[in-house]
Amino acid sequence: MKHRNRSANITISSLKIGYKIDKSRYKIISSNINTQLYSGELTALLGENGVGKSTLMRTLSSFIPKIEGDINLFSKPIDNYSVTDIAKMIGVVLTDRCLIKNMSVYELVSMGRAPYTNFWGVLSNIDKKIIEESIDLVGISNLTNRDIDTLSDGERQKAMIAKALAQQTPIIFLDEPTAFLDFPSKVEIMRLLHNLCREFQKTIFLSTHDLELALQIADRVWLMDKQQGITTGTPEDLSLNGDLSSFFSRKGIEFDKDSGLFRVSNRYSKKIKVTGHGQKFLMIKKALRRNGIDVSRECESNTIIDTKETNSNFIYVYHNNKKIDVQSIDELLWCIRDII
Amino acid sequence: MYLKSLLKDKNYILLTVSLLTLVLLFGLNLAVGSVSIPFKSVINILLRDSQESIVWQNIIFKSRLPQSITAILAGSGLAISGLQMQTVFRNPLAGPSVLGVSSGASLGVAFVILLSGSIGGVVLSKVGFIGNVAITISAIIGSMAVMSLILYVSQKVKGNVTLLIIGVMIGYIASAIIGVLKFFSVEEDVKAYVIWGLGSFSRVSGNQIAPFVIMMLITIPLSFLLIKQMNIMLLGDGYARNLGLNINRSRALIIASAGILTAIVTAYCGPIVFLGMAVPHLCRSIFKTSDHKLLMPSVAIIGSILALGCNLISRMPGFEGALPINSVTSLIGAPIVASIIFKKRANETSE
Repeated sequence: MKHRNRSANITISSLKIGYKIDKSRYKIISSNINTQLYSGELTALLGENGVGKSTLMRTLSSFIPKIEGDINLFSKPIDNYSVTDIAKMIGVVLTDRCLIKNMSVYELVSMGRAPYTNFWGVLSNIDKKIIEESIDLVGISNLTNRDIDTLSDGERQKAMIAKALAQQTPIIFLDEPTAFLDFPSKVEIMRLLHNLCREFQKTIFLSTHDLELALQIADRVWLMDKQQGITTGTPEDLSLNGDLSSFFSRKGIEFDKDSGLFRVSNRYSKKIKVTGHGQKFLMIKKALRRNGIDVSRECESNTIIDTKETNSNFIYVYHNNKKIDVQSIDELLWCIRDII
Repeated sequence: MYLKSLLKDKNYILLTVSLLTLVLLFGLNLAVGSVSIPFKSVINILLRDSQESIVWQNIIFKSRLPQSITAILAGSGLAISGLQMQTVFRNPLAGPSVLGVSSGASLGVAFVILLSGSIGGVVLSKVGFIGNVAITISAIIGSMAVMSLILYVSQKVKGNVTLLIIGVMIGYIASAIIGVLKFFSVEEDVKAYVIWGLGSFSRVSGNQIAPFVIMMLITIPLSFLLIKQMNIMLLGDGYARNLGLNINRSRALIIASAGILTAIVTAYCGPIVFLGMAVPHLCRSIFKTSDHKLLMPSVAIIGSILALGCNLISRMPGFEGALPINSVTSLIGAPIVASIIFKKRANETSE
């Protein structure tokens, strides 16, 4: 599958990753990995704990040596680059919390200039401009002089991303950038990364456990699995061809092909007919499913829930042709429990 | 922007104040003692005015001046060494003695002092100048041996904590061997060894001061060459490597620098405790920075100030040199530094 306008920044073929135990023995984490990291795309690496996401990331950023196979960075073997060369091509954001005392955001971001500054690490005017721009890009200019150990986790994560931006690398790796964060911060970080891809053509590769966010924002997904190795594709392709469903089916997660989202899989004891459309319908469906009751528009049941009513009454429940009206979903659930 | 330049100015003011304090303490060290010499005469004597009393000239040139210079160089050397260790190991409790380098020096000295009596039949403590040179050389050999071992291990193991534990273990082994040596030694030698262990800035005198000053004036500036690497190391191994730092090499260079500084100071002054660990903390709370471009010069200056201050106290009229420098650094310096750090950090939860 070749495309004209697509260039791969990193090409991996028959890669085997793991750790060295002693002189001749290795602990193999994953093998036979063949895939590519395309430029200007946000790629998300998904997989359960212990499957080797961090090991893969550490191998790709050449923190640890690969065991077998090839990693090509800009079509040259990664081993041919010096540490300083790689410092100018791949920037990383790690899971370390980095609570250094007496270090300001500005000083932290200025570390990103280290591969470019002189022997003493003195910042030139260009360096200073790049640092300020990087802080600005992640939207924390108001925190420039704050010490990093006084920041919230989300703010510190942004400072770390600014550090990676100041490093001016075409590729940025992030190891679980949204762990520890509250939901709005997770979304904010993901959107920020997505923007960096689109506006500055950065190639971003991140590992994450936030499946829904990743599937909404990532251009491409790498599914990492002990049995199957790595499967790659756009989230949409993977959802159409069933890869996503089969990837998660074993783990008590159901993949809803219609919405492209995940659902905790429930066992349903009953099925009820619900009529209607729109948000009210969806919410009722969701609430009933959480309570072990499947919902359908077509089936036959003694109980029918009508959500179509538009006058003051919220919902009507017909049970054995008796009409009950309820004011909220909460009330509906109690009502249904009584009936069934 | 205004705030930032103000902060910078504040640090320059602080540095200037500390430099002035250093000069003041240097003067006091020359003037105050069992024989008090007026400031004016001190200056005249330093300017080689032969009109002043010969006795005073001798006190200043033979005793107080070398002692003060030793204190300045030893204080800054130990403080720099402590800062380097704390940065490399990312551990606030690290100090010059943490890797067993000073234990190595002690072991070397113990071998020479304690064995020369029991095996060679010479009581070294009575031999004078040659004895002193032998002690210095054995201390350097002992600490360098330990340091080479640590450097070798540092290339083999990945974790800093492992390295730290190995250093502490080497320290235990060294003190165990010293204990055995003491047990088999003559009482006189044991006393000589204990006195060496109390530390002193006055042991470096006459012919010995030149090599000490030269070595320190070479090694202290060399340690400043590692500033950028130390700054990057603050971020931890992962980030440091990603910023293009060769971790193993930088770690070896910084440990070597800290080790050599400690070795030289210990060889000439004995194992001086506390200074090396405390000064970096003091500087971080005074200057509120983690940038080694500022921390390195400031620990060098504050280290000298503390060493001069402790030396002055140990020589106060009334004590008559009876207080060993290690007792002063620990008894008087430690509570002061602890209280300053406590005040600054009382409201911080971590560490």
